[in-house]
Amino acid sequence: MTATTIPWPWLFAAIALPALGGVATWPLRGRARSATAAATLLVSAAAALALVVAIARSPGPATWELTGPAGSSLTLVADGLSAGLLLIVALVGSGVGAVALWEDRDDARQRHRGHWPLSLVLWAGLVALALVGDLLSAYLLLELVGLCGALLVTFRGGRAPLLAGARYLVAELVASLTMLFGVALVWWQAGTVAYAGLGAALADTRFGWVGLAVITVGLLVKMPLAPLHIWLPAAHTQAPSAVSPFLSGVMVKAAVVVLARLWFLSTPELLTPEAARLLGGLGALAVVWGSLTALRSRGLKRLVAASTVSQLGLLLLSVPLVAAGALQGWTGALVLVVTHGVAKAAMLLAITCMAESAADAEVVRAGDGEPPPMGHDPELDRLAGSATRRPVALLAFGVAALSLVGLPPTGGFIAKWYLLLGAVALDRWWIVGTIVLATLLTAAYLTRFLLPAFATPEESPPTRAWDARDVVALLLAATTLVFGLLPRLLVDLAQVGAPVSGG
Amino acid sequence: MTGGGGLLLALMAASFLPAALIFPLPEAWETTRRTINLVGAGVKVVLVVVLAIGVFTGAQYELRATFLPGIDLVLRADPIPVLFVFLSALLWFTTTIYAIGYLARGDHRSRFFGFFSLCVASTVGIALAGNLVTFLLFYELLTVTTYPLVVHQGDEKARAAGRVYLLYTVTGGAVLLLGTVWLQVVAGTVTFGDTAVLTGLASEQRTTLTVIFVLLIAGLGVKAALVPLHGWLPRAMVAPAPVSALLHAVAVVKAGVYGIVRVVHDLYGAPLATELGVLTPLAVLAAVTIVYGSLRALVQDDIKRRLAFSTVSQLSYIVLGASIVSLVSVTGALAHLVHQGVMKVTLFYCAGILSRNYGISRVSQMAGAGRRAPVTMTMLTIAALGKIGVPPTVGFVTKWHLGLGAADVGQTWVIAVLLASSALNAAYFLPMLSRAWFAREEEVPAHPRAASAAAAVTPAGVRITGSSIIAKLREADLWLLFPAVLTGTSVLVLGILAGLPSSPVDWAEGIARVLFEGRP
Repeated sequence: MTATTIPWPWLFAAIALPALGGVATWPLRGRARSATAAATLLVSAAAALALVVAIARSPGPATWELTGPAGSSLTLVADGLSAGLLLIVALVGSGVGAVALWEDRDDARQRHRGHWPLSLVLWAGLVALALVGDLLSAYLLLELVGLCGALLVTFRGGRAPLLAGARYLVAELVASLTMLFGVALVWWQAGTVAYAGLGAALADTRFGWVGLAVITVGLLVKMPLAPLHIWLPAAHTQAPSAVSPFLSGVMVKAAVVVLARLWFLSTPELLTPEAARLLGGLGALAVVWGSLTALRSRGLKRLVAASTVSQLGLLLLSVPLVAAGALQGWTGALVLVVTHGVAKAAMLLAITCMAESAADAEVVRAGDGEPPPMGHDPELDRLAGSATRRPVALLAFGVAALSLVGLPPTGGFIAKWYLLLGAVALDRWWIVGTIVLATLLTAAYLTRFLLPAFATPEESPPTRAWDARDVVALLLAATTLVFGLLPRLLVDLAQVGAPVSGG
Repeated sequence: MTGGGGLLLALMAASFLPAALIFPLPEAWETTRRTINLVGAGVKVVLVVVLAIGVFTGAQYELRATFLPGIDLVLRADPIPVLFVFLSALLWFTTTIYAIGYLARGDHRSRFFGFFSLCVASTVGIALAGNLVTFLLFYELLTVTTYPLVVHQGDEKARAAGRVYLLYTVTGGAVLLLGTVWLQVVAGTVTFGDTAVLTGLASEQRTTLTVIFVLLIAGLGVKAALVPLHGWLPRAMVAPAPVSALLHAVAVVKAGVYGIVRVVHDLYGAPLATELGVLTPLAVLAAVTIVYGSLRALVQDDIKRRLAFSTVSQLSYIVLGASIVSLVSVTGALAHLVHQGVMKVTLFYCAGILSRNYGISRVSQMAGAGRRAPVTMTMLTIAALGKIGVPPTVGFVTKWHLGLGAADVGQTWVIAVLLASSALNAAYFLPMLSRAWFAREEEVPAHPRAASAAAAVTPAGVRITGSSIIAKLREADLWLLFPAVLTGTSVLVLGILAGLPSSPVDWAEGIARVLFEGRP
């Protein structure tokens, strides 16, 4: 670990600024609010990306000791894992931010006043979470972002979002309490909660492993891992259209990052092969569970949310690989964290666009009659013909779908390639089998939408087939192509501070 | 070694650029779209000719870029790739012309031609791929870009075909990926043509190499339509005729077969594959596919479906030839890569004209087709005779080499398969031809499309009835007829001139000689 000079301006711009800017929008109205939000988004995204570039260029992970008043201190760690989370926060966050601003271009009053403060504090919390170097801070930040996320879900108004948000909140609280108990146990046993040196401090303690196990359970609920995920589909479906892409693409990675940091960078010596296998097995179960749910979902947003559950399972599959010393597993998982984040966000943005066009078309077809309302989660069969009605959004969805399935030339392929490489090199055939199965199941549930999408609609094509939101979705989807065609961008990033040396 | 990469880069650009330009074009900009399409296809033909001349005068063309740590993306113009690229460039050119005519009044033409270009661009990548990873990338890209073409019609039948297509190809792709990853773990990145790497591993990794071989062939076998992995192909023929032509002659199925040829001869090498004992099962599988495809073709009434089963059968001639270790049969296999393409593309062009302009999509409707569409039916007849293997068509040349090669190495059972297949080919093609030329026409009203097509090319003010001579010559738009005549005559010409230098056969023999006797 190298201690370099602390890049104060960047840290301030990346962590404090989004929170301050977000709070500053609270008293403002109309254009002033939008302008403040836009400026905050722009600077925060630039700062986060600058940190990513700095990490990519550094030879190893950087550790920064921040000393505060009265002798308090906080350790920040900047490595490849941090960069992965920072990257999706910046990319997806600015994408959904742009969509929200575009939706508000005429009238900002329809957006809930709490949207910008909460979503920007959420942003700041995730950036901080990517960098903090101790378990207690991680716990506090997870609590903060969970609270923001749950509240954001309710902002569309109405009963269903409120219920979804409430369930989300309850799950978050249960998970937080569990985790807090675990953190307390660890503190009691080791006398420290800093990641660095935690493994050694816990090595000979009696209950240290219990603490770690309890923390892990809490994190798995937060993630969420199937079958602890019951709150997720409703929350991701009911959230406002400029929020759910961030929740489904980025927010679920928060717990993943803490989990990875804890087990692989802090206490790898305590992760027994059996425990690693158990986590991997749970991942395989989640892959199947999420996919089967997606195969039966009636609404497209719910399908995509279920797919998140499945992809999180795929991430856990890398645990036994990394634990056995296969660096490919780590690389694959990190690439998956990033590419799934942007792909999932692109998909959810595209769905909103396609649902609007489908609703318009139904009005045209119904003539004087009143078509049933589209609802917030459009049914699959009502989106048939989207290839004609909304080609740009469908292209975005299609490219993102390629990445989820893991087909070249997308970043999802690179992730799958590395996971398979690690699994084959270690002769873990059940992991190989699960990855292949995941490919087939993902293709199967996505074609439930992608096949009817090419149906020729009855009505004549609309005059305006896309708007700014389609372009944002396409840009996000296109980043998976960038990561697929120039994979070294992510692969090299993953090596900064990777847990095991290659070879 | 890296000299001449510019030409390969230009070739890739000539393939990808038209797609990028066509996608955003408004539907109504027909002329612009046509121009981009034809210029792209034309430029590509010129570049490929330059490339071919270069390769035969000993120039080296290679393009290399680091992809992942330890893995390079390599495009390289060896003789086998150039043969395949040459075929795809020429047939893409004719198919583009045909598709422009065929879809002259269709919907979603920008989408169609965009994906059409991407599809052929992927094929160029597949052809020139210098290692298995590069091959895999373009192979999967081909799967993806072909899908919108298969479901282009947008009706329930097309979507059902699309579902089956994806089921087969995504599964096949996953199996191929697994094989590729495994090979990467065992041997690192192996350049095509460098068979020494795997041969060196044979003593200690025998079983692993055999399993990887099976995985690779199974993955490729889906696209190559080896029985029992062929089920998607007959269903995919619901796509528009130009897509079927492309699918069956140049792009998808060829990618599978071409991959098998490269895995056998450029990755494992014939000696290693023989030693592992995997070639005889492959040859038997190919033989089974040949006979099975022909048997199924016998009972199909739908013309395109019959042609699809015929493709299943004919493709395996290439696999069969590649899995018999003899210079002559490998020559036949490589030559058939070209021959099958030219014949099948002609058949689909003609079938497309019959169904689009005359409403004839079933064999039982073909009575009188010879009189109503003489040029189309002549071309169809030539190509069908080629498939049967009648001299002097290219089909005969292939079968001759395959049989001779098999006899050389004592595999006489192959000759029996070839004879049986020829008899079956005759059994399903000849009734079609005889009905079209000789059967009495039963009260078939002239198809309205045919009349309007004839009227469309008539100068304003001159009324021409359906029976006039000009109308008969105008049995189809020249956009449709010209490609069919061009490829149909080449079935004959290439067969007659097979003995001349730089014919496909001569080319194939040169390649086979290099494979068997080492690089000159």
